[in-house]
Amino acid sequence: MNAMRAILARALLGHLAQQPGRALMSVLALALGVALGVAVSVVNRSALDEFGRGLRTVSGQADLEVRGARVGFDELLYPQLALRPEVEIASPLLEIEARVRGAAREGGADAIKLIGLDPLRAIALSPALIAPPAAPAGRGQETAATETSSLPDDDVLFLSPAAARRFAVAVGDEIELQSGASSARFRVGGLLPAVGAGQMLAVTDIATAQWRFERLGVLTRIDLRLREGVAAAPALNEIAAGLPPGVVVATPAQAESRAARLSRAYRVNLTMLALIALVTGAFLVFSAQALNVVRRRSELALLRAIGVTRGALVCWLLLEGALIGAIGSMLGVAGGYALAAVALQFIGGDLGAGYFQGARPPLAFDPWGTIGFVALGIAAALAGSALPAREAARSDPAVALKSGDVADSFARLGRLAPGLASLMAAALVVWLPPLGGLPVFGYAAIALLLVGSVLILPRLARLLFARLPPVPRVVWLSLAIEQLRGAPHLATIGAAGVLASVALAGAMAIMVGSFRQSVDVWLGQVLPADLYLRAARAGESAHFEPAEQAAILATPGVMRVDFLRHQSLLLDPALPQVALIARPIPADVPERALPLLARVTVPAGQVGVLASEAMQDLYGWRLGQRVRLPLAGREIEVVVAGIWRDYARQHGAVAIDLATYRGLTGDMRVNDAGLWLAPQSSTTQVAEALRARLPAEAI
Amino acid sequence: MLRLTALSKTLPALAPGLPPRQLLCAIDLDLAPGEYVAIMGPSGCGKSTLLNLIAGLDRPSGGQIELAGRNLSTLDDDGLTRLRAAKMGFVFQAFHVLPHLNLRQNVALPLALNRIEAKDTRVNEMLDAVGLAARAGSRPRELSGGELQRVAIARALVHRPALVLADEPTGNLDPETAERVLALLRDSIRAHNAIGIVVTHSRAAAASADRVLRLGNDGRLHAA
Ligand SMILES: Nc1ncnc2c1ncn2[C@@H]1O[C@H](COP(=O)(O)OP(=O)(O)OP(=O)(O)O)[C@@H](O)[C@H]1O
Ligand SMILES: [Mg+2]
Repeated sequence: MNAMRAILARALLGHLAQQPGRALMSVLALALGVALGVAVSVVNRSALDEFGRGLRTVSGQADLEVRGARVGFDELLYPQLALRPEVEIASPLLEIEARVRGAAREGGADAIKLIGLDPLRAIALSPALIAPPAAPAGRGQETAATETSSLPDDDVLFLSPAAARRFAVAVGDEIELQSGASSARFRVGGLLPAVGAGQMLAVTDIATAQWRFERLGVLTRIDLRLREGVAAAPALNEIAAGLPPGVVVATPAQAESRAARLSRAYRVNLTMLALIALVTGAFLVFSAQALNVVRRRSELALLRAIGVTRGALVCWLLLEGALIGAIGSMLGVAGGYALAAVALQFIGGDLGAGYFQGARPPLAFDPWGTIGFVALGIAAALAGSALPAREAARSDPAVALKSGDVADSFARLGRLAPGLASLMAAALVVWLPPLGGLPVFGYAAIALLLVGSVLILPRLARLLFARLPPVPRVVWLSLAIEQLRGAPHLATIGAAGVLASVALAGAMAIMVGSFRQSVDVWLGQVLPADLYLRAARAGESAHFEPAEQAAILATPGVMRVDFLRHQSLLLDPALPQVALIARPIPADVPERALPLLARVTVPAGQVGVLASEAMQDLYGWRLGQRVRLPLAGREIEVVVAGIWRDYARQHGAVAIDLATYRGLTGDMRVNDAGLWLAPQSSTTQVAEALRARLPAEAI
Repeated sequence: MLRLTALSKTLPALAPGLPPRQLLCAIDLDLAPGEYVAIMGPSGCGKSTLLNLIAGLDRPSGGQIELAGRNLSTLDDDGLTRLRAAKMGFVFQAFHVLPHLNLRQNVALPLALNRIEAKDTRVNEMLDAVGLAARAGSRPRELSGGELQRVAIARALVHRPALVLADEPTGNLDPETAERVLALLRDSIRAHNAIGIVVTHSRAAAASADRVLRLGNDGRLHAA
C-alpha cells in the first residue's frame, strides 16, 4: 500500500523535484497573493488590537463615553451628567492632539496625544492613565529634577513608555508640546507603565491642559460609570436625549467598531488586490499544469494502461496542484509577515491611510486570517489544476501511447458559450448594489470579466491562426504557424497563462494609477491655488487667528487668498466623523469651487451646503433635502444644495461657504490658506516672506 | 482463457464520400492458458489495434472479448483498468519507460499497483533475466533504446500476468539479445501458465511461438 503510494508519488510528482523551475512561476504568483493577503490581515489585526488596547487604556472601566467632535464641548455638561441618578462616576477628559517640539516631523513621528484628566475621577475609570504612586525606577531622578526645574509644580505630565522612548526623555526631563498656536513646557513627572506598547500618550491635569492650550471650559469627552443595577441601553438613550447637538454617547464597543470601519474601505481594496493576485496564481497554475499534462501525456497514458484508474490519476494531479499551492502559501505566509512587519515599521497600522496617526503597533499573529489565505492559496492552485487533471484522465491512453498527437487536448476550451456566459454575467453583476457597504459585486464583475476573456481566447486564437497567411519562404515561421493551426487549444493555453498574468498585472497597475490620477485631477479642481499654507499639522486644533490671516493677505506677491476652515462633525456615534469644510463658495456658480455632480438652487433665506457623495451613501442625504448640522453647539437647518465628488474623505464631507459659516458660528479661525500669487512673484520668494511673517511653528 | 468472437473494428472514412474503413473483420480466436501465439502482417493492417482491443484500451465496433470468463464490454473504465493491472502485461511498440523512476522502480511499478509483497527479489530476478541487473539504479535517459525495450519487457512480466501482450518486443534488439528476450518471454508464459500474444515482423521471433497467425489487409486473421 505505502510502497504503491511511494512509487506513484515518484512517478507522478518526481518532475517537480527534478524540474522545479517549471512550477516556479505558479508558486511565486500564489506566494504573492497569499503574502499580500496575510500582510493586510496581520497589519489590520495589529492595528485593531492596538487601537482596542488604546481604547481600553483610556476608558478602561467606563460603561459609556460621551464625546463630541474634536473641538470639544462646554464643560458645563460635566456637572449635569455627574449629578444624574444613574451615573456613579463621571470622569471629564480633554484630549489634545499635540506634537513634541524639536522632534522629527516626518510621518507624524512627532505626534502625541495629550490627555487632560481629573486624577481623582480617572483613577476609577482609567487606572492605566494614573502613574503608580512610587515609580521606583524614576524616584531618585525625580527629586533631583524637582530641585533644578524652574517649572511650577502644576506643569507635570506623565508619559507612556513608548513616548518616553521615542522622544528620548527620562523622568525629570523637560518636554515642550505644541498644539495650534499654543505651546507649553512640561516636566516629565513619571511614566505610565500600564499603557500599551505602541501608545504615544501624555497625561496631565485637566486644568493644566485647558489653561496651557487655551481650551478653558472645554472638554472632549466624559467617561461614565453607571450605578450598579442600571442597564446600559436605557441609560444610554436617556443620556443621549439630554445632550447638546454634536455630542453623542456610546458604549466603548461602539467606539471600537468605529475604529474598525475607519480603515475598512482601504483594507478591502488591498485584500481585493491580494485576491486578484491569487486569481492570477490560479491562471498560472492552470497554464503550467495544462502544458505539464500535455508534455507528460505518454507517461500518464502508460500509467493508465498498466493499471492506474482515472480517479486515482485525477487525485494525483490535484495533489500536485495542492503541493504547489501549499509551497506557494508557506512562502506567502513568511513573506506576508515580513511585509506586515515592514509596513508597521514604516507606514503604520493603517497602511498609510493616515487614520491611526502616531501609533506603531507591535506585530500581532492573526491565526484566522493566515489560515484563511493559506486555504485560499491552496484552493487557487487546486482550481487551476482541476481542468488539466480532468483532461489528462479523459484522454485516450491508446492514442496517447502511439504518438505525439496533441491536437485534441483541451478541445472543450474552444467552446464559446462558457466564456460568453461569463462576460454576460459580468455585465449583469456589475449593476448589483453594494453588499454591507462594500462593492463586492463590482469585484465579482471584474473576476467574471477576466475569466470570460480567458475562456474565449482559444476561439479567438483559432480564428486568428486560420487567417494567418502562409509564409512560404521562411521555413521556421511557416512551420510555427502550421503548428499553431494544428493545436490551437494548446497554443492558447500557453498564451492565456502569459496573457492572464500580464493583463492582471496591468489591471492592477491601471487601477492604482487611475485612482491616483483621479485624486490628482480632483485635487487640481478642489485646490487650484499656487501655494498652500497649512497651520501646523497636529490635528484640527491648529489654526490661523484673524491677525495671522491679515498677515498672510498682506504678504507681498500674494494676489488672492482662499481661507479654509476644517472641522469634524460627529453625526452618528457608530460612524466616523464627517469633515466640515468652510471655504469661499460662490452661491451662483458653486461648481467653480467643487467638482459638482448635481445641484439645486437654494430657496431664499436658507443656508445651502454641498455634500460629498459619501454623505448620500452613509447618511442617506438627498439633493434638496433639509438636514440638521451641529454647528457651534447649535442644531442648524441647512439644505443640501449640491453633491460633489470627493476621493479623499470616504467618511463624508460637507462644504459650506466660509462667509456663511462665519455668520452662523462666529468662528473666525482658519486652518488652511490657498494662495494665488501675483504674476511676477515666485513661489519660493512668497514662501520665504510668509515664513518671516508668521510664527515659525504655525506653518 | 481468452476468446474473441466476431470481433470487428471500423475506422471512420478517410475522406467524406469514401466508405468507412473495415480494419478488423469477424475475428474469432480461442487461446487456452499456456498458449503462445505470434501475429504477423503488413504495416498498418491493424495488429496494434487488435492488441489494444484485447487490452481494453480501445472499444471494438462489434463482437465480444472474454478474458478469464469476463466479457470486457460489460466492464467500465475502472473495471478495465483494474483488470489490466491484475491480469495483463503489455509491451508497447514504443516502449514507454517512466523518466523519473530508475530501472528498478520502473519494473516494480506493476507489483506496486497490485500490492504484491516481496518485490525486491522478483524485480532483481527480472532485471537479471533481461541482462540489466547491473543497471538497476540507472535512470531511463542513461539507457539505449534496446535496453529500454528490455526494461519494458521485464515490467510486462514481473507481476506474472495471465495475459502477456507484446507489440514488436524485439524491434530494437540485435539478433542474439532478441533471441534471449524471446526465450524469456516464452519461458515466463509457460512457467505461469499464461496466454501470450506477440506481434512481430521478424520470422525468427515468430518461430519462437507455438503457432503463427497472419492478419491480412482484408482485416481477417488466418493461420500462417
Ligand atoms: N485513432 C485512429 N484514427 C484513425 N485511424 C487510425 C487510428 N489508429 C490507427 N489508425 C489506422 O489504423 C491502421 C492500423 O493501425 P495499427 O497501429 O493497428 O497498425 P499496425 O498493424 O500495428 O502497423 P505497424 O506494423 O506499422 O505497427 C493504420 O492504417 C492507421 O492509420
Ligand atoms: Mg503497430
